[in-house]
This record gives sequence, C-alpha cells and structure tokens, in this order.
Amino acid sequence: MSDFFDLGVLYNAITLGAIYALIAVGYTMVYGIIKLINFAHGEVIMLGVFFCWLVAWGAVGLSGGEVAEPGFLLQFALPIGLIVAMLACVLVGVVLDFAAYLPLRRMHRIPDAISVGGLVTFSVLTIVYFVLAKDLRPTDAVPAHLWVLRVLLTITPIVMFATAILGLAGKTGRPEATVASDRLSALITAIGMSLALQTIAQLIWGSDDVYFPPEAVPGFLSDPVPGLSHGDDRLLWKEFVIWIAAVVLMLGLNFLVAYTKIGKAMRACALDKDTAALMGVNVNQVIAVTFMIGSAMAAIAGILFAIKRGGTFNFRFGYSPGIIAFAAAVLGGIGNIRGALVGGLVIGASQAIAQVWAPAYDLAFGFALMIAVILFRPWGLLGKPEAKRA
Amino acid sequence: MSETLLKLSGVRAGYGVLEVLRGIDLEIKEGEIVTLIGANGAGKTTTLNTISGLVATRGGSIHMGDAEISGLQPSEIVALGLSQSPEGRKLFSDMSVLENLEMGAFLRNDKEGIAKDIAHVYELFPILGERYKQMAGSLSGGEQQMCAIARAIMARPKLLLLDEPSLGLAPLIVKQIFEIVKRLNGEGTTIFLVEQNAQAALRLADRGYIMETGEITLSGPASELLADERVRAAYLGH
Ligand SMILES: Nc1ncnc2c1ncn2[C@@H]1O[C@H](COP(=O)(O)OP(=O)(O)OP(=O)(O)O)[C@@H](O)[C@H]1O
Ligand SMILES: [Mg+2]
Repeated sequence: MSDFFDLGVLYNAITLGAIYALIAVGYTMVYGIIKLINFAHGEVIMLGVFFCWLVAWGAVGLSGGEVAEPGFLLQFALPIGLIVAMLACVLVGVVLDFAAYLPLRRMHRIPDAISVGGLVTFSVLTIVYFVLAKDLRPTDAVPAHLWVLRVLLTITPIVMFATAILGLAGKTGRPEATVASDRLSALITAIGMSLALQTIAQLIWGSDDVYFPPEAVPGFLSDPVPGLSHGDDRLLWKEFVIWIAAVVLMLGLNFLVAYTKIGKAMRACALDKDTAALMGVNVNQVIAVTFMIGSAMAAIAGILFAIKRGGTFNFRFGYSPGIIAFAAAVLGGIGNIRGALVGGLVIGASQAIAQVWAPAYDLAFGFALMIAVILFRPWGLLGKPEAKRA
Repeated sequence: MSETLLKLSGVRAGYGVLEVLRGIDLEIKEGEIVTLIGANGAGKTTTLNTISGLVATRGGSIHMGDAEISGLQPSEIVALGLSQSPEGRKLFSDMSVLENLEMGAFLRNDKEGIAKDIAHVYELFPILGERYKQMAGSLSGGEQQMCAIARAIMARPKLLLLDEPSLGLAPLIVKQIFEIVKRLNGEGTTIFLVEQNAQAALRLADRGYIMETGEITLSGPASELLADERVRAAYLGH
C-alpha cells in the first residue's frame, strides 16, 4: 500500500503526465480542426530532440573542449538548443502539413506540384546521398557531387517552406478547388510521413543510440529540488522543469485559444471550417498555425523527456511517447485541449503506478485504461459526442 | 444607385460528377434587394456558396465591381465586402453570442468600429444583447437566425447574402426578420435574399430571379413576378 501512495510515485505520475499532455495537445488540436490523426507527430518529437542534440554538440565543439570551466556557450547550450529545436520543428510542422496534407485538401496546381514534387525529390535525394556517401568516413574530404547533393537537400525543404508561406498568404495563385480531404487518404499519408521521417533520421544519424554531451547538460538538473524531496522520494530539477514547462505552456495555450483572435479562429474552424471561411478566416493558415503550435510543444516535451531519461536516444525515440500521448488524447477526448491534459495525467499516473507494481506492463495499464474508457465513453473523458450536423 | 455590384455570367458549378449550376446569369445593383426563389434542390444554396468561394466555379465568371472573384479564397471575398448568413444558421454553437459576433468581424481591426457595430446589432436585435454570454447553440431557432444575420453584418458588407432566413420560424418572427432586412437595406446594404417563402420575399424585394434545376427561368421586377401566372402557380400556391 505504502508503495502506492508515496511521493515518488506521485512525482513520477505528474512528470510523465506533463510530458504526455504536452505531446497530446498536438494530436488533439490537429484532430480538432482537420479530423486527422497526425501519426507523424511522434517523429516531430524525435527530430526536435535531434536538433537540440546537434546544437549541444555544436556548442561542445565551439567551446574547444574547455570542459573544466564551461563557458557561456556551453552553459546555455541546452536552452539555445531548445529554442532552435522549437523553431526547426515549427518549420517541420508547416512543411509536413504543406507537403503531405494540404494537397489532399486543396487542388492548387502549382503549389501542389511543388509540395508533392519537393517531397518526392527530397526523399529520393536523401536515399541517393546516403547510398553514395555510404563508405565516406568522417575524416575523408567530401567529394564535389556530395556537396551538390547536400546543397540540394538543404534547398528543397526551404523552397517548400517558402512556397508554403507564400501559399498561405494567398500569393501563389488561385486554387482550382477547395476540397475536404478524404479521411482515410489523410490517415494513410500520416502513417507514411511517420515512416518516411523515421527513415530519413535513420539515414542521417544512424540506428545506434546517441547521447547528449554530458558537459552541455547542467549538473543541477540531476540534483533534488530542496523542500520537495524527502528521503527516497526525490524530485529532481530536470523533472521539476518539466512541470514548470507544462504549466506555463498549458496556461499559455489556454489563453491563446480562449482570448486571442487566432484562438477564436481555431475554435471556429474546429466547429465548422466552411462557416469559418465565410467569416473571412483563412482556414489553411489556421491549420498551419495549429501544426506550428503542436510541433513547438512536442519539441519541448521531447527534449525534456530525453534529458530526464538520461540523454540517450535514437531515431525511434518519438514512437513510444507519441503513441502513449495519442492514447492520452483519445482518453481525454480527442479534439479537446483540456482533455489532452487530463488524459495525459491519467495515463501518466497509471504508468507510474504500474512501474511500481508490474514494471514490465507499465504501458499495458495505460492502454487498457484507454480502452475501458472509450468502451463506455467513445468520445473520451472530456469530449462530447459528435453533434449531428444538419 | 445603379452601379452593378455583383454580376454572374454563365456560371457553372457542381459537386463531383453532379452538375448543379448550368450557366447562371444574374446581376445585383448597388442598393437593391434581389431575391432568388426556387424549389428544394434547385441550386440556390449552391449559387450563394459559389459566390462566396466555398464551391469552385467550373465555367463562367463572377464579378464584384470590376474584380473577378471566382477562384478567390472565401476569406478574400469577404475582404472585398461580401458576407453570407448561411442556410441553417451555422452558428458556432460552442461559442458565445458575443464571440459569434466577433467572428463576423474577423477581418476587421478597428476595435472602436467593432464595438459600435456590436452596439448597433444589439439595438437591432435586443435579445442578442440580453443573451450575449450565452452559448449560441442554446439559443432558440429564431434567436439563432437573428444571431446569424447579426454575425454576417458585423463584417460591414456592401453585399449581404441571406440563405433562407425564414426557415422554420413562426410567421411573427419572419415578419420581424424581414423588417430588419429592409432596415439594413435602408442603411445602405445591398441584399441578395434566397427564399422558399416566395410571397414574403417578393413583397420585400425590388427584383427577383426564379431558379429551376440549376437554371434561371424567369426574372424581373418583384411586383411583376408576384403577378405572373407561372410564378403564382408554382411558388405562391394559387
Ligand atoms: N455538398 C454537396 N455535395 C453533393 N451534392 C450536393 C451538395 N450540396 C448540394 N448538393 C446537391 O446539389 C443540388 C442543389 O442543392 P442546393 O443546396 O444548392 O439546393 P437549394 O436550392 O438550396 O435547395 P433547398 O431549398 O432545399 O435549400 C441538390 O441536388 C443537392 O443534392
Ligand atoms: Mg438551400
């Protein structure tokens, strides 16, 4: 009994719940508006962690190994990496929507050709690059044709991003038709994007575990928070930071959705996209913003989660928190932002308790709970039964 | 008074393989109330949604003033001064009355102007002022219709499209709503009114168009249409 209600379990429950909630928000907001389960959301998490990891190692490199007395750059490598990763994930989120999902919602010849073409080009170039670069060792000089490929690999997503932004601003011509995407095609596309992004990450960074440079991870993160730690039941700073991030971001999001113009537009689009368009809302812009917000939050959650777990990860890192957060979103009521928070905390708690009782089955508890809930409330804890539309 | 505000020429549109509009010509002049009448499924709503940019044209052109608007995004069309109160009200049910009105003013940034227009709307529809905090989905049918019209005029449109504002309402409420439409027109808004209630619509309007299976079959001054044998037989129940 005492194992159950001790502080350690509670702390763990809140920490896990906070992470799942931050990720679940991304699923739930996108679903709320375009009824798409964005299976590639987990990969955005993974990419966010890699982006931050690149910055961290970059800082180590630039500091020239002055580990004994870490300079400014090294001390702030993690926060800088976090910001860079957030921005990069915002870009990934928009390109993802633009390249993969928008062409399914809209007939718009030129931009659609650029987005789909860009996606295909990028994938093919990546594969060609890694086949050609297979035997290249890090110390070798990079031959010219690989440099050309590297430049192309950089330019393609940037061109796609630029076209996306121009398209959203209504500057790239007129759509031939605006169509509601077929849900099944969109779902399959999302699964495809998830696999594609994983594969690309695997090609670029390999299959082995990589780790954050220990010198870039501030030591205090592994210290217990005074006042909240009693004996064995310790709350570490790196966990407490997750709590703070979750509270700040969830409150910020709540404010955004409740009171700002873009927030109202998001709610209006979630209720009825056509009517929102009749009010003058640029629906595709709102969708892009939704992807941006979800992706930025996923990046933060992913990085903090990776640090909490000791800083080791690989290209599959996003899968597990992604799928659990998805379950959390469904449990809480998909489409409902507060539901994402509640669902995240419930799943986090079930996992934390299970880790004491039957660690091997920690995830099974969460999923079983989700199934039990949706058996009786298919619309989730805080969701609403889908209203019948006139 | 006689500037052409909206002009449809040979507009064709449809859904998938279904051809709904088969070459629509119509014209609305500044300051007019024009009504479009037709049986269920004739294509009236499709006509409005094509004008608003929700349904793509497959041929023909739509001009607002001098600007070609077919192919523009719905939001761009709203920005040009055209707003629609859609069939079945389509209020944002989980948003308050006030938030619905604010959504109507989505493209406007003049806070003071918006506040003034909200006050004006409350004066037109006092019930909305009393219920401004209430969720729009919990309003009665008549109140919802008022809210939908109010929301559409919050955009300060030059041209207001109304899709069956009398649908499912008691005669007294219909009368109220039509009076308000008349008042809005008097304040300078041009009105394009789609109606099943042909009698009331033709009494209110300056001109009318009769639509049958995607084509305009008859048009003219409202008084002439009211007197027309064919119209009386088909739509006025005489
Ligand atoms: N979204 C849609 N997808 C497919 N067909 C549609 C769609 N909307 C309307 N239709 C079809 O187009 C035709 C015209 O419909 P529309 O709604 O324009 O008629 P209407 O004149 O407004 O009728 P009502 O008086 O009943 O409102 C109908 O046959 C209808 O079934
Ligand atoms: Mg209709």
